[in-house]
Amino acid sequence: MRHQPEESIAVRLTVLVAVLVAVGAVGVFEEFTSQALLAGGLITVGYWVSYRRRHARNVWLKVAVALAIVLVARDFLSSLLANPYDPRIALVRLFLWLQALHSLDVPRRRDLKYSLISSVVLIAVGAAYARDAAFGLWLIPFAAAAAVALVTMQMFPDDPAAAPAPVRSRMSPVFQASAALLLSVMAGAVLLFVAVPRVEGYRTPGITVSPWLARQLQLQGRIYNPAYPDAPGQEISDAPPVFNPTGYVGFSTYVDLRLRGVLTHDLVLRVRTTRPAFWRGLAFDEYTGSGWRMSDPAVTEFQIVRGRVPLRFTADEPWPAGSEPLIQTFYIEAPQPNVIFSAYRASEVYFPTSGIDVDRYAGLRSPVPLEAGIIYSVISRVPSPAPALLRSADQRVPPEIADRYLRLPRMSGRVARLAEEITAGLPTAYRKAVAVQRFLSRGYAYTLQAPPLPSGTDAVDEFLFESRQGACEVFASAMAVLLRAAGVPARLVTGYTTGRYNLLTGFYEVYNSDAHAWVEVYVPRVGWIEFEATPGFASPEEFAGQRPGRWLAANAASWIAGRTRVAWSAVLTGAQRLHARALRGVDPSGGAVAVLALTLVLLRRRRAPGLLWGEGSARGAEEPYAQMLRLLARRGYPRVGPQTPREFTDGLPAALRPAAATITNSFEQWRYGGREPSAADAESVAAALGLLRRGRG
Amino acid sequence: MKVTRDAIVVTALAAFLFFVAVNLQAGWMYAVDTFLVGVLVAAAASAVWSVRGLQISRSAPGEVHEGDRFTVTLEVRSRRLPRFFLELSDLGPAMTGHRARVPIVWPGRPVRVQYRATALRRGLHAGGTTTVASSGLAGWFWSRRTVRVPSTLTVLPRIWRLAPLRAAGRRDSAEPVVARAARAGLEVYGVRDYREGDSLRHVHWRSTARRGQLVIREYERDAQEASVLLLDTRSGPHPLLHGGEEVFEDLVRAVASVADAMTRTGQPVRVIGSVNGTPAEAGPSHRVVMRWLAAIEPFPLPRWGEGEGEGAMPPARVYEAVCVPGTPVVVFTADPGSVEYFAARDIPCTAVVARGGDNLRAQLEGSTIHDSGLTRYESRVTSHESR
Repeated sequence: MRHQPEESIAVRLTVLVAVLVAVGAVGVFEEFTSQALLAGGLITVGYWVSYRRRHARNVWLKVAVALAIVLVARDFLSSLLANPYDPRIALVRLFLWLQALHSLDVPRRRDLKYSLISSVVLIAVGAAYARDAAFGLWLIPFAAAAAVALVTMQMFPDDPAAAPAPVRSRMSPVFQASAALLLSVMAGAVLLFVAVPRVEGYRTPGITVSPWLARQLQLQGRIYNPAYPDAPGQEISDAPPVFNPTGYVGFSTYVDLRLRGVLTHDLVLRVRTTRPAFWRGLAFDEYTGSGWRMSDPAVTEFQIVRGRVPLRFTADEPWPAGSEPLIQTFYIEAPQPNVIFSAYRASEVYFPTSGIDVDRYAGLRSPVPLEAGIIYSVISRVPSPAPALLRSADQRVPPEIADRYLRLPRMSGRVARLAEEITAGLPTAYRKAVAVQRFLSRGYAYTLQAPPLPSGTDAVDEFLFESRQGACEVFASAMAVLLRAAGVPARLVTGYTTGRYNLLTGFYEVYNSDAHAWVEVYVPRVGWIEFEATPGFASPEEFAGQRPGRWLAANAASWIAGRTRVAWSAVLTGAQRLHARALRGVDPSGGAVAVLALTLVLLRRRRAPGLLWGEGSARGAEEPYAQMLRLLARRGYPRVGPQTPREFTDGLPAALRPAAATITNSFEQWRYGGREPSAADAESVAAALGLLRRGRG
Repeated sequence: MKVTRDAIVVTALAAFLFFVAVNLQAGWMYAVDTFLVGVLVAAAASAVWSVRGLQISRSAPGEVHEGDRFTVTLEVRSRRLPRFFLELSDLGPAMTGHRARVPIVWPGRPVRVQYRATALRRGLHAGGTTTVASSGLAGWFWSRRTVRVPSTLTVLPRIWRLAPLRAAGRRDSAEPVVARAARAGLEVYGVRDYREGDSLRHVHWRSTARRGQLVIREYERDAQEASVLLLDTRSGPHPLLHGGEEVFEDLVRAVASVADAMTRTGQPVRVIGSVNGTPAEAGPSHRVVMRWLAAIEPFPLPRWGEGEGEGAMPPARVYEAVCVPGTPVVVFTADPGSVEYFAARDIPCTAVVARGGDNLRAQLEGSTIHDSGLTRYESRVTSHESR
C-alpha cells in the first residue's frame, strides 16, 4: 500500500530543525565545520525538494541518491582502511552525508521519522568525538528540537481521516506539550546519567589512534622537553637551576632536585581509561645527590606495523607476577615532550608513527614531539600481585637489578642509619617499602616552595634531616634512597597523576600541574611495584584495589558533599569575619546585643508566629483551623465548599466533634468576631489539635 | 500498553548506544543514551498516566425522541498533572458514539468536547462508557482504559408527522379545537416543548425563558373528553400476533404519533395498556404520555401451544379495567382478532393493526386512515390493515 505523503509543513520544519541542530553539533568540531555547513545547506534544500515532490514517484531522484550513497560508503570504507584504529572521523562523515542525501527523498511521515532517528545517530557519533563540556550546549537544543518534532507529529496526525484543524490553533499545545516532554526527559535523563553505573569499557577492540603523522622529525631516541631543552655540550647538573612553570623537569634527561616552583594549571592531556592509574613517563636509576639521571640512555626502536607495536623489555623489567589489563587512550591537548605516557607496564602501543623508542627502564618515547591533537592508545598490564607473593620469603634480587638499582653516591652515614632504623626487622622488600612510605608521611611536609637547596649539600639528606619539606620528586628521591640504603632496589619515576574525572565527558583531564614523581620498588619474584612517596596523593596501590566501574551517583554525592563543606566553611569564615569586625567596632557589646535581640524575637515568634509579619496572632488562629481541615480531609471528612465551619463541625462523627468544635470556635471568634485568641485559647486549641492527630476527638 | 514500532526501534538504538558508550567510555554518549532512554520512559509513563484517574462526565438532554440528533458534552478533567494526546471514544446510553482527540488536559482546566449524537432506541436508559486512549508525549506507546461515565437518557418514541386526527366517537374535525383554550374554568396542568402547529398564545413564557426554547402550556381536560389510545402490549412469536419486538416498537411509535397529532388539534389524550400484567394509564399531559410510551415494555407471550400466557392482558381486559363502558377507543394491536370484542359491544373503536413487515408509518401517514377510519366510523370496528 502506498503511504500518504506528509502534508504538514509544521512536521517537516520541526524535523528539519532537529536534524540541523544535530549537524551543527558535529560542525563545531573543526575537522567537520566546512562539511557540516555544506551538508546543512544540502539538507535544507533536500527538505524543500522533498516537500515539493512529495506526490511524485521520484524514480530518477531515488536512483541518484542510491548512487551517491554508494560513493559515500566507498569513501567511508577507504577511510577506514587507511586508519582502522580511529573510525570516528569516517563515521561522522558517513552519517553527515547519509543524512544530507536522505533529505532529498523524505516524502512520507515514516521517512521523516527515520531522518529524526538518523539525526540521533549523528549526534551520538558527535558525542563519541566530543571531549569537552561544550558539547552539552548542542545536546540540549537538540533534545528540545526533537521533542518539538515528536509532539508536532502527534498534533498533526498523518491519518487522512483526521479532521484538519488550523495550524495556529494547534501550535500552542505543541509548545506546551514539548515543554512538558523536554522537562520530563531532562529530569529523567539527569537521574539516569548519574545513576547508571559506568561499567568497565573497552570490552571489544576499539583502540583509537589519530591519523598517521606524515611529517616526522626523528629525534633518534633523545628526550626532547621543550621546557627544559638539552644544551649541547653542557652537563645539566652543573648548570644553574632555572625553573620553567610551563613544563615539568621530570620529563627531561635529568631531574634536577634543586628546582622550586609552581607549574601552570594548563590542560595537557585527556585520558580515557578503563580504570585510574598514574601516567608514567620516564624512570631514573642514578641518584647524583642533587638529581636523577638515566645511567643508560640507549633506546631500542620498535617498528609499528599497522599502527600497533607489541613491546618487549629487557631483563630489568620482568613480566609482573599477577597483572590486570588496562586500556588507555591519550588525547594530547598541549605540546608535550616526546614521552609516551602510559600506565606501567605497557604491553602494546598504538601510535601514529612508523616506530617508537623504548629505553631500558620501560620508558616509551615518540620519534616526534607530542603536539596537540595527537591521539594514541596503550594497553598495559598493571602489576597486581597476590598478597602471598608480596609476603614471600624469597628476597633474592637478580644481580643485574641489584647492580643498577642499589647504587648510591657517597652520602652521610645518617641516611643509612635512618634507613636501617626504619626497616629493622622487616623481612621483605614490600614491607620495607611500606615502612619507609609511612615514615615519610609523618613529620614531612609537602610544598612546592621549599627553601633552596644549599650548595654542596645532598638533596635527600637535607630533606630528611634539615628542611623536612619538599616537592614530590624530593619525597620520591628520599624514599628511593632510603630503600636503596636498606638494600631494596628502587628508582624514581616521573609522569602525571590520574587527573580529574569529568562526569560529562568521561575523560580524565590531566593538567600541567598534575606532573608528579613517585617510586618503583623491585620486589623479588613480583617485579616493579609503584609506591606513592608523597603524603596526600592517591596511591597506585589504591587504584589497583579499585573495582572496575564507576557510579556517577557516588561521584555526584561526593561532589555535593564537597560543595556543602565549602559553603559551610564559607559561612563560618564569614561569621568569624563579622564577629571580628564587630569586636573592632565602637561598642564591642553591640554584636552580642544584636544576637540577643534576634534570639528574643525568634523565641517570641515561636509562641506567636505572626509577630514578625505584624499580624498579631491572626496566623495563630487561622493555622490550627487549616491544620484541622487538612487532618480531617485525610481521614475522609473533607469540608464541602458551601458548608460553614459550624455546619462542618456538626456533621462530624461524635468522637471528633468536641475537639473540632474547640478549634472551630476559636477560628470563628477570630474570623467573624475580630477577637484574637488568648494564650489560654491557643493552648486549648493546640490540645484539641493534638487529640485529633492522635485519632481521639 | 501497546508498544509501537517506533518505540522498538528507539529501544534497540538506545541499547546499541549504551553498548558503544560502555565500550568507548564516552561520557557524552552516555548522555545521548540517557536522553533516549529518558524519552522512552517519559513516553511510556505519560501514556500510562494520561489515561488514569481522569474525571469524565457526560451531559446530554434528558429526553429526546428516537432518531433525534442532539448535542452531547463530554467534560474531561484532571486533578493532578497534565494529560496528553487523549483519544476519547464515547458511547453514551442508547446513542451513537463519537471519537475525539484532546491534545492536553491541564489540571484544573477541564476540556469540553461537544458532539452531535443520534438517539437510537426507545426506553429509559442509563450507563455509558468512554474509552480513553493516549499515545503519551512521544507517540511511541499506546495506553487504553475504559471508564464508566454514567448518564441517563430517556428516548421517547419516534413521532411520525401525521395530519391532524380525530378519534372515532369524537366531534367533527371541522370544529375549531384551539378555541377550547379560551373556555372558562380551564386550568394549566403542565407544559411541554413547542411543536410545529402550536399556537403562540399557549407559550409559557417563564419556562421558555428558563429553558431557552419555546415551551407550551397544556390545559387540564375532563378525563372523559380525552381520547383513549389503547396499546396492546402483548408481543412475541405467538400465532395470535403479527411479528415480534420490532412490530411492537412500530405500534408504540404509532401511538406516539397519533397522540401527538391529536394533541396538536387540541384534543387531550389518554394512553392505556397493560404494564407487567396490570392495567395502567397515563395522560392527558403530552409529556406524561410520551414518558409512559418511552418506558412501556412488551409483555412476551409464550410460544404456540403453551397457552396464552399467565398475566397477559388482551386489549378487551385492559379496556374493561380502565374505561367506562362505551368510551370510544383507538386500539393499537398486532392481534387482528382482539378488536372483535369492541365490535360486538358497539363500542366506538378505531383499530390500528400492525403486521410484521408492515410499513405502519406509511399507512398512518396515508390519507386512508383519516378518511376511512378514525373520524367516520363510530359504531363499528374499523380494522386498518396494511395490504
